[in-house]
Amino acid sequence: MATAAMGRPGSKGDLPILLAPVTALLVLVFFVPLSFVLFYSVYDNGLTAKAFVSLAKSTLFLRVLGTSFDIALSATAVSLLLGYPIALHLARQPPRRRALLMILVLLPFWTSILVKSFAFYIILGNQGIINQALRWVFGEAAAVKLLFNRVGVIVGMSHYLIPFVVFPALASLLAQNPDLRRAAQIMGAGPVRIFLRITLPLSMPGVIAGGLMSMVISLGVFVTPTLLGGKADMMMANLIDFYTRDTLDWNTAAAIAVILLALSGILIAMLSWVRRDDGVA
Amino acid sequence: MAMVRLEQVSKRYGSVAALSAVDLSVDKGEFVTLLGPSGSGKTTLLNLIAGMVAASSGKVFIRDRDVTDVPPSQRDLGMVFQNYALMPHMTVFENIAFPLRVRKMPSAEVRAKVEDVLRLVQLPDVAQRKPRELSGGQQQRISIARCLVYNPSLILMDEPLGALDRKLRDQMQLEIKRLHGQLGITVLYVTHDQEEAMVLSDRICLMNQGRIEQLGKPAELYFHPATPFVATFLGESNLLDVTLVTAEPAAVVRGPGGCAIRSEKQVSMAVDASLRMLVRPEHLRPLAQSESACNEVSGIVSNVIFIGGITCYFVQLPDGTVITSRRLTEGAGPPAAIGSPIRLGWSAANTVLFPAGT
Repeated sequence: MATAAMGRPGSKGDLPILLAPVTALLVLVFFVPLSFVLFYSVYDNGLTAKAFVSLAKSTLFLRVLGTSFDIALSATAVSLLLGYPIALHLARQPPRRRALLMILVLLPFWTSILVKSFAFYIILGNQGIINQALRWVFGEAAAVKLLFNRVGVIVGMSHYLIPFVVFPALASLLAQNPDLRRAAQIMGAGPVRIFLRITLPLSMPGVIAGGLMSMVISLGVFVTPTLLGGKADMMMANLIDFYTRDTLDWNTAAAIAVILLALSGILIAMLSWVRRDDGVA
Repeated sequence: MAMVRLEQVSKRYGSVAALSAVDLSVDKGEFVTLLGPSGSGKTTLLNLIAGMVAASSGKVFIRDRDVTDVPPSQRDLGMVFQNYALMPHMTVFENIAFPLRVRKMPSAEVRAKVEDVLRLVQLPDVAQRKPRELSGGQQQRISIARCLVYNPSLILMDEPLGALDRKLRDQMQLEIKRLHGQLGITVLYVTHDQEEAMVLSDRICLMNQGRIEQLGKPAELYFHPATPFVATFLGESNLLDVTLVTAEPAAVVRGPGGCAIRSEKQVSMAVDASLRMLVRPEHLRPLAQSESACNEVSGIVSNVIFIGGITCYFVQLPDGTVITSRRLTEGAGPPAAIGSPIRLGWSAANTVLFPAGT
């Protein structure tokens, strides 16, 4: 389809030329380094699978793997709970207003994740806005620890993930025939029943797609747990960083990267499976 | 008893009047069609009864209950949509059971009712299928079954056959007519297809520019149209400008070329007033040399078109106007050659007169 749209004269012949620059770039900055990673994961003075074997036995790795999934799942759940109502609201706006509000949803992307993480210090820190307010209202003992622990990580990650959840859910909601809701209304159904029996089930492909996307992104997160999390919130990317820079054990670091890649690959495969099924709704 | 009654209902969108002061009443067991071109307000009227849009003024009654401010879910209505509006994630059974579950019916009763209604629409074996596994016609039967199953006061149908091909549409028309006759349901049906309206309706409510142009039995609208709009919207028509010669007891007018044309009705207008005259093409009969008719015009055959069972003659009158005559085709070959003179005749009963400028 893309070729047909690209231009009538000699359309097919143009394609390799047009795609050459981006292909070259991807080979250079993506394919080559990735090949090195794959190679290092099975090479340490000769071909070996020892990194994978020792990782399978490593309590540190297994605990980090568990923590990664734990954080990714919690952050995804929080993002879905907060993002779905946004999508629902957006779906019910007239198109112009919706376009405007969608820009607001995307607004967090205008700032780097690093800056945003430091901004959370001001909000969540011991002397942050929330704790100052709590102290002012309830006294000194009311302060809660919101930073350098799981709470900080989940808040920071959800903030980043919500747009990734909102848009697929919104797409699923907008794809619904509005006559379905009208039909249900005329048949006597109230708003709660219409939501639970029609709107929600029909938006599930979008919710699942958004959830899987959010899982893929969460598993590879590095900055947020580093800046907002505590010692117990180490994730896969942080462990890779630890092996690469602190112990210089590139073999193990590469092996973890390969495992992370495989996990993301599985999630993305599930995502495309959900997308293909999407046509049903 | 009137199942639905509208009193002076209007709907404006900004400065545009979608409906102006409409009165309409549909009796129990009646099949009424809202017919009209797009933008005539028929869908607005339907949505107003359904409660999907609020009236700007006027009142809506269902079973003599004022429902003007009642939400759609509390109006005891059924609706059939053009796109079927079946829930894609539910089986046919769940779709039809939906309104019964809303009404908290025990599940044994639900099962029995769904089975009954599926037999009624002649699809007894599809209960466990998903809507997308059915053809368009079958899906529309299911959507009708979903209305029939809970026996609402009134069933609204919004161009339900618009998405089907011609042959299927003809079948479904007869199917809907059968269900209406068999069950005595009250139906308000929207369509822009005049033939469909004729086939189905007890009464047709012909709408134009947000008003009811004429409301009556199909034959009334066809033979006694109130305005030239009704005449041209329903069936084929020849409209001619004429002047009044005699007003009473039966009007006589002067037609193109000065010929006198008789009608059977009197006209309450002054002599020499301008009028418009309707005569249906099927009432115009080519006359043989020896024949004569109550009303006659003569002209030249300008074209002959053969459409299977019917042949159309286009006849140019001396003043240039072209009128059409439709005759049943008899035998092979046209009896009148193009360019030959022809006389067309019709009876006074088939002359319909309107004031000019309508």
